[in-house]
Amino acid sequence: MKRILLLGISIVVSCLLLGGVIGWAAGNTLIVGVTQDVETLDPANHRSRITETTIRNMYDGLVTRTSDMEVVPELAVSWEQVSTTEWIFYLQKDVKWHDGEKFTAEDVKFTIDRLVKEGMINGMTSPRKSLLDPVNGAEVIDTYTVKLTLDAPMPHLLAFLPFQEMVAKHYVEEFGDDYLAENAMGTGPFELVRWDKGTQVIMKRFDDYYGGSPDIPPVGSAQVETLIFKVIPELSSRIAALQAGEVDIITEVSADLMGQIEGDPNLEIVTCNGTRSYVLGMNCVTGEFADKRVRQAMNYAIDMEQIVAALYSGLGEVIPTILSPNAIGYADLDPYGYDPDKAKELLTQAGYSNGLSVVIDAQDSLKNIAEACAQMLREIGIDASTQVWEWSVLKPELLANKRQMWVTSWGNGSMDPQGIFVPKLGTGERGNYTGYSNTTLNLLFALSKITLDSDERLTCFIEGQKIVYDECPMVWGYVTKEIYGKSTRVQGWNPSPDGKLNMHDVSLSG
Amino acid sequence: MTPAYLVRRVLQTIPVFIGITFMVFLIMYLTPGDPVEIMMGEGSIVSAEEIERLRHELGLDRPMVEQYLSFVGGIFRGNFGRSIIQRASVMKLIGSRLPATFELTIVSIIISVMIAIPIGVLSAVKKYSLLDNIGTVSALVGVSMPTFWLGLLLIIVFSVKFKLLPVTGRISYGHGLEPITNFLLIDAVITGNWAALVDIIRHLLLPAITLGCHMVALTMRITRSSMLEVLSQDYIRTAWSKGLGRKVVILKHALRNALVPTVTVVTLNIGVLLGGNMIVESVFGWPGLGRLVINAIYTRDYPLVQGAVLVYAFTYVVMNFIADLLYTVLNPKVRF
Amino acid sequence: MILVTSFLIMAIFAPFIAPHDPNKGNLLERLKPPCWAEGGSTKHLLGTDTLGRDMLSRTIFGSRISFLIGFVVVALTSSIGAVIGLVSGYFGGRIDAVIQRIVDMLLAFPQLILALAIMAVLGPGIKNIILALVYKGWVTSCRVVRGDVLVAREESYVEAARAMGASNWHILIRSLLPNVMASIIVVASLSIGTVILLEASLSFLGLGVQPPTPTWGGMVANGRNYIFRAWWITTFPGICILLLVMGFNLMGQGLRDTFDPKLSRQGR
Repeated sequence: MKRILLLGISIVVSCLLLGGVIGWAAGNTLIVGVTQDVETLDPANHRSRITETTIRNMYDGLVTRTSDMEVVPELAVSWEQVSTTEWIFYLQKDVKWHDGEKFTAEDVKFTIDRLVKEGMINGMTSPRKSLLDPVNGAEVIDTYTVKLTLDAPMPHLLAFLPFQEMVAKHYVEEFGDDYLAENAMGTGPFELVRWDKGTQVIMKRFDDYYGGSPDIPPVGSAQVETLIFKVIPELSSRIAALQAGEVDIITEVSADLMGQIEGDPNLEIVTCNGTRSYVLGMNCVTGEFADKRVRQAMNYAIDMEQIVAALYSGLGEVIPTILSPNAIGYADLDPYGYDPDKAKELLTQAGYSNGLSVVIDAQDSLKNIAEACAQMLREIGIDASTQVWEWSVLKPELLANKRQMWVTSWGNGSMDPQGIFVPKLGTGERGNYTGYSNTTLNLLFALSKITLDSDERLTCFIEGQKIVYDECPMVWGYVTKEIYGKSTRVQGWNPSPDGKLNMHDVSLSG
Repeated sequence: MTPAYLVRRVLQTIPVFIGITFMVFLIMYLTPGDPVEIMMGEGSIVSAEEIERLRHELGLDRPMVEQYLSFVGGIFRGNFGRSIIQRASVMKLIGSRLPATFELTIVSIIISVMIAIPIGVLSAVKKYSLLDNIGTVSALVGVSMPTFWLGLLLIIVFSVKFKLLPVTGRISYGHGLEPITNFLLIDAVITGNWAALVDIIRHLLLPAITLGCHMVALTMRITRSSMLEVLSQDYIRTAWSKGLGRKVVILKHALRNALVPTVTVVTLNIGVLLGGNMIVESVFGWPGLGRLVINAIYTRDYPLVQGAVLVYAFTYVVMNFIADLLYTVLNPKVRF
Repeated sequence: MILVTSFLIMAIFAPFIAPHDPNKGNLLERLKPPCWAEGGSTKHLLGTDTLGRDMLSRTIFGSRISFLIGFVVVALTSSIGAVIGLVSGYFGGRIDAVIQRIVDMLLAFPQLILALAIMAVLGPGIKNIILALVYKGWVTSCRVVRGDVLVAREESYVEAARAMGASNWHILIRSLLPNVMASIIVVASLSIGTVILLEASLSFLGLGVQPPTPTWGGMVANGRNYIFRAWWITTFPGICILLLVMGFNLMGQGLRDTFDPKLSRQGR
């Protein structure tokens, strides 16, 4: 009996000791710790950001973005808009797929058609169709020239192209959609080694890489030999893995825990501007908040500066409307600012001198913010409480205008107002939970969609922001910085605001 | 264990399974939230027509009874459907996660049993000794600790402070191990990749201990009390009086009989562990079935939840059956 | 027993013991360590949490919810389980078969998945957590009671009652119920601990009690990301859960030893 016990203990101890001898897989391997696994390796058959950004290392797009969010050529060397509904793209020559075949205009046509035409993937339609909505297909002009045809003008087309990743026609036709979903094959700097579902995606350097975008140096093959995206859902575990040297980069660090990484001489924090706007929506259709004065009072009563300072260690910026300061067409207005007296005054004017009762809804991940806001509202005599929901349950309630006030966030990787301003505030749009509706604003949005003059388009959005600033269907909040932790041996990597984890240019020292 | 009994047992499980399919379907049907909306995500552009089209393509706009029948019909044809979010076959998705789950569960049980039975026996033999008291207290602590807290504490101590064991995953990359069966331990042994084997065991230790903690406590208590009971029986006294050696009496005579309840409890708990390890999986980033199911529930991925629950239920029923079998084998007096 | 009683006293008198309002925080005073650690102050003896709320007060108030959920769930599960178990065991035959298949079904359904799904249907909240835990919880006591009844109904005193013409219900309530009461109480006291742990697990998965109501499970779950930065947020409620569950387990074992030597021999 004792012997079994001893045997068990000795196995455990020997494993512990042996570990020190064998050590981690070192060498030229870069490991990124992310929060979720990819859903598929088929770039056209998902709607998930982590999938997009992980497999972007194996697939290239027609265009890409620099870390300053500028759209630059990638597989397309140049392009021109030949009419309101036709765009021509001139492609890179001598680009090879991972299987050695040549990349041509046929592949672009195949990829675009697969995205925008119905029933193209196993008889089902790509869930990414609406990202390119007025695009109805592509035509091959010659081997290296392709034309995208549109049903209606789409001035912001380029902003939506970087994450439409090119797949190989011959490959998909030979092996089928189900095969592609597990066996990625692109033109990107890395090729797939293996996808261990739920654990990691392992990639290795593609030596015949054409070099990538000429505008993002260094051009050429990737620097590291092996690249792994490893799934670690728990933040504490992610940080522990970084500290233990198991991973080299981790995503989604919270501001409160940065100190943990900063205190370690082998690690450092990297931040970049985020694209996610945090706001408190208010029901503009029924109840107390249908009154503009009450909504303005809320904007004065909640101290967003303090929330950013306390909950985000100051790593964020208070915004005057919903657009982030880095977005195209951002109007430089002064945020409302904290003024509890003014808030009380506005409430009295609106007939709520005895206060009112508010429930702030939030998802689990945002409940701290809801609770902090409720505390501030209680300070000016409002009976505020919070309720936590599962988002999928809360959303229909919001769309039916059944709730009062809620914390919400909306990411906009495209950095174009079309990706956040229109869907959140246009009448009847699917992200318009407040029920807000303004005729002038809708006209401005309509104009922005048909105008060919890009300055006029921006003016539409700037004027639109002035309207919503005053009417404030939401308590305008803030955009936060994205925080990453990395080991000091990682060189040449900058996070980018659209969340892209481009590992092409990264090298490892030591 | 007569054939008639066997047939009855199998027949009994049929209404249970039909009930489970109905229950899981009904719960998922009643749950508010729409998988298509969730899949399309926040912060990007989707048109109402697109949502409708996807719902139609997935058959989510059909009446409830029709959806249920097509779900049950699919099971009979061995087809659990396609995941809504991941868009791959449910069987394939579950199949890709099961080995990891089983591996963790089995190792955790082996570790638990290896710790629990010796301590249980020793503390019964030396009742109220120091070892017995330590055993009792640690068993109590074991059953009283929230699992995720224990897991995080272990990570802090073993991985961050002493850097002895890895935090997450099943294996480090670079051992050149290609999955064959996806039971990595078996793969490593087949290919004779000993470095990989050690690495896999190191990855397994913390999650397995965390998962097995309750099990250790439970098994230890049961072994101790059934051992105590057996030791007071007449035939053991006879054995003592015959002057047989201490070891022989305890190991050959007493333990064999005392193990009956232990074995039953262990087998029954395999089912429970399988269903309860999603928390351990989250903390240690273990790619098992539990995490897959939790995500599926949050994203309302109906086909995936339904498939997974059936797999869990099936394992439970099988384990129950094995428990009965073992019971008769170990204790010939029991007849069904 | 002493453990449980002192926690109970703490829960009842929470408003008088707690130094601060458990739900009122100050963002400027967030993440303050306990008084004995560097940077801590005697204003917040056990430090403050992520929103600057007093940990001591929250821990004291947290005991209320843990008790509430523990007691209500166990009271409901053991009474439902007892009634169904009595009926199932006593009448036998078809009723028993149907009930036992339902029990099998619920047993085969993983508890956490079931609770999660039910919480998803009903939405978070104390009432719904209780419902989600009761939904499956009753099967354990049902099985135990049924087993006892199967044995007891063959005993002579039941035979005697039947011969005297007593009605079924009379036999059930007068003769059988007192007989199985011991196992009901033992199972109940042992399962309170399980219930408290399950609430913590649900909080971990994001479906716990509504904030700002403090619960131990919720506090450990929400503080888990701060385990490096602010260990005190998880440690104190964690220790409380540990002690309370331990208290209930000890109590259960004690009850088992006094009430029912037969059960204790089975070691369950």
